[in-house]
Amino acid sequence: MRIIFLMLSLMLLASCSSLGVKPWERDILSKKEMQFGTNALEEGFDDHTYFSKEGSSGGRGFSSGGCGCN
Amino acid sequence: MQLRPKSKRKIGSLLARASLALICATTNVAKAQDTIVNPGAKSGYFSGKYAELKSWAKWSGEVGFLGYSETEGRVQALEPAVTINAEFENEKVWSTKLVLDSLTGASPNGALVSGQPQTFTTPSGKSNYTTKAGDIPLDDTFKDTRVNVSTSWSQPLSRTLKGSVGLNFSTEYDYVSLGLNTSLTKESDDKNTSYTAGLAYTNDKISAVGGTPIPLAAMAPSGSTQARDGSDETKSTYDLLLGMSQVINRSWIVQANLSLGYSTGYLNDPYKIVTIFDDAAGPTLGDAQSYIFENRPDKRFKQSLYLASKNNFKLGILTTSYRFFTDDWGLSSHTVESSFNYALSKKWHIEPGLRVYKQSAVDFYDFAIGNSEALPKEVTADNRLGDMMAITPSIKFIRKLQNEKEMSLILRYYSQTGDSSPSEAIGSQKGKDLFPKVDAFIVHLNYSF
Amino acid sequence: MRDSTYRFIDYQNYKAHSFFCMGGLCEVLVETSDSEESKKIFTSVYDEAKRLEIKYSRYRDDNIVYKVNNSNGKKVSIDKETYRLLKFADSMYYASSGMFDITSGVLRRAWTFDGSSNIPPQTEINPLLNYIDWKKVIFDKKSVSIPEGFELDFGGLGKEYAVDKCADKAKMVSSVPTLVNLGGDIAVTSPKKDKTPWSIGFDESLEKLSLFSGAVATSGDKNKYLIHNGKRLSHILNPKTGWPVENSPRAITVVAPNCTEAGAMSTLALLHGAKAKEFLAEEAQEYRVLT
Repeated sequence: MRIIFLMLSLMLLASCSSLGVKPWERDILSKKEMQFGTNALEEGFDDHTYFSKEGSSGGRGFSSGGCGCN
Repeated sequence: MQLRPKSKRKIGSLLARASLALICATTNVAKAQDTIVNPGAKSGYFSGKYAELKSWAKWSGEVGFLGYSETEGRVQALEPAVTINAEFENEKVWSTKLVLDSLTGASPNGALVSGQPQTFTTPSGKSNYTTKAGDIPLDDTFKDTRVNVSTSWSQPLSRTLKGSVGLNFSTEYDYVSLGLNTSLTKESDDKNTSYTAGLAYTNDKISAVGGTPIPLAAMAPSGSTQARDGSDETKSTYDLLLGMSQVINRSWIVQANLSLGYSTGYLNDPYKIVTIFDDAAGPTLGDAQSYIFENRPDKRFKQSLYLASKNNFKLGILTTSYRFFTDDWGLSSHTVESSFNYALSKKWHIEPGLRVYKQSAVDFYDFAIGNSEALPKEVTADNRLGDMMAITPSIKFIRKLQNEKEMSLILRYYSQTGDSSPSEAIGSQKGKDLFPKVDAFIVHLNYSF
Repeated sequence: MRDSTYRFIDYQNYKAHSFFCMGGLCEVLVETSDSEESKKIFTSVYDEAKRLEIKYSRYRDDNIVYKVNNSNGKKVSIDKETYRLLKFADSMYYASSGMFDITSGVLRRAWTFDGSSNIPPQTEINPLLNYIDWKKVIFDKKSVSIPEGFELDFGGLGKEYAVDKCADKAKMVSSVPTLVNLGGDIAVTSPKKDKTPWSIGFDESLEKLSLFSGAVATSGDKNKYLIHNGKRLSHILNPKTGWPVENSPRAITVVAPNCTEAGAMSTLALLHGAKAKEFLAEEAQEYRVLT
């Protein structure tokens, strides 16, 4: 359960600090390469490839469902 | 000296006239644009329908193709996929993905390399295949095509809350899966932080070719009664995802996900066997004697923590991620991935990357079982659950097109290695490669619009 | 909306859409309780703002600005819109006695206005002055040619022009009162529904400006300045000396029937340095000066 503790502390850290930017400072963050989840098809291919060759799965999001490969 | 009367607002009126000259003619421009409301539309019923469809929603999506090829005639896969997103007013989005997965080639069946040729019965029980002495036993009887369809609907529930529901269906000749998922995302007022919670339930039906094998039963020769009980099996999985993302500063954003998964039901691989070898001193020490079907526990509790960071530097954008995975089967793994996106020009980007994966085996993993050993309750020789490491260097080429469309080509080389000479190897097993490497070339081709 | 800088706030009787464009925060305020209407208006404004940002940005390699700045002295074909902008730049040149010169963009190779005291040496500035001379730019309705080494920079008039075009687009799709704000340069399509004016505030003071119709533009040093000998140097450069104009007010705001005129007036005023207030008193109708 160390993982859960680490996760909770990360969430607390984010909420009580003054991190972040103002709306007019989002120029760099608006680049496609600076966003998570903008390469969904590529990530889906990778997740499926690694899932069928290894014993671990997921992490980034929900793996899109069953195949008989692990 | 003559006093010249200063004309009032000389420059002011000049500017007033010049500005009007600049911004005028807008009505004329407007009229011209009205007539090109449907660029490319020809007259007729179908083009009319096409125009209707085009304006029904804001369309976007991806079309992609995965090519996977292992060395030495092992697994080859071709996987075309397409995702279509339709965005309606008020940010409602309907998304559908279709993937076709076509697999050919041979895969290890779990049996150990032996000093003698080995013969195995095919899953149907009707025929057999032989592996030469010293070769990795590979089962090449599975050629499979899988179809996977998933669809989801997402919409804002309030100014800062967004929800989604989705359905996922996958089918191949021996495996059918149906799943439901839902999630909620909440953004902070300043949009610098977002929290996500998601739940998923998946139900799978496994109809192994020839029927489900009886766990730990011996593989019978072809033509005789097989150690299979003919029924189908089911598996249920419950997943929980908790995630958050945080903007640190103008050039830095991070993400963290905690995933918990619980699977129950039939978790075995019905095609994998474990070698029983001769552990009595003599000339056949280490040789395979028989094979039993593997058995895994019928419950599995998985946990993983995923951390990712994106940093913009003057030279380019660095993406790094780390995933820690552990489960109650004893398996744990670390995955570190990093890539650097460098802009060669406004249109061309290049992104080298590296992935390193290290896994420690499940408790019931064994490369083979000695004849005199008591049969364990659970055992698997599936290399995918053993101690191993995988390295994947990659390079991605991106060509940006008009209107935020993009094409990309990715080349990856996947190399997996494990303990080829475990210390427990005896007799004829010594000197043989007991954990065959996996080496594969991977190609992705992708177009996003 | 695939633009990740886009934000939408629904205030019931009016809607606020914001996004990042032309180097600053942009807003479209629409006085309506109809989300569909507001979205229609916003989309036409957004598309127009993005179109102009792409067309006249000096940071791209696929637009008319790039073609002209890399033409090596040859003629480049232009469209009607670019011709009109060049004509306007020409009027500005003569109205300012040569102080407003859109070939002066080359000076940014020497100057970086980051609030520090890094003043470039004169030896770096002098060679650039050879590439600044609007009179050497030759253009007609179909084409433009500039000498080798010269550059055209539409930054000084592009934003205010874009505000007017966006307001026009909004007027074309709807008669609902709309305010377009691109980085502080503002135009309104009509007074608000109850015939009251839009109330526009300033960053630096509590004062509010009432706008029934027309536009407001502000020129000033905002965050782009340097400190030299205790003096604040604005980023408005004198094309004849290569140095910032001295003793100009920190910010000048002008109200005019359209944003292009308001912006031209405030920029010209700044170029008068210490005489800015005098110039405005003579030429402008409504204005604010911040010293």
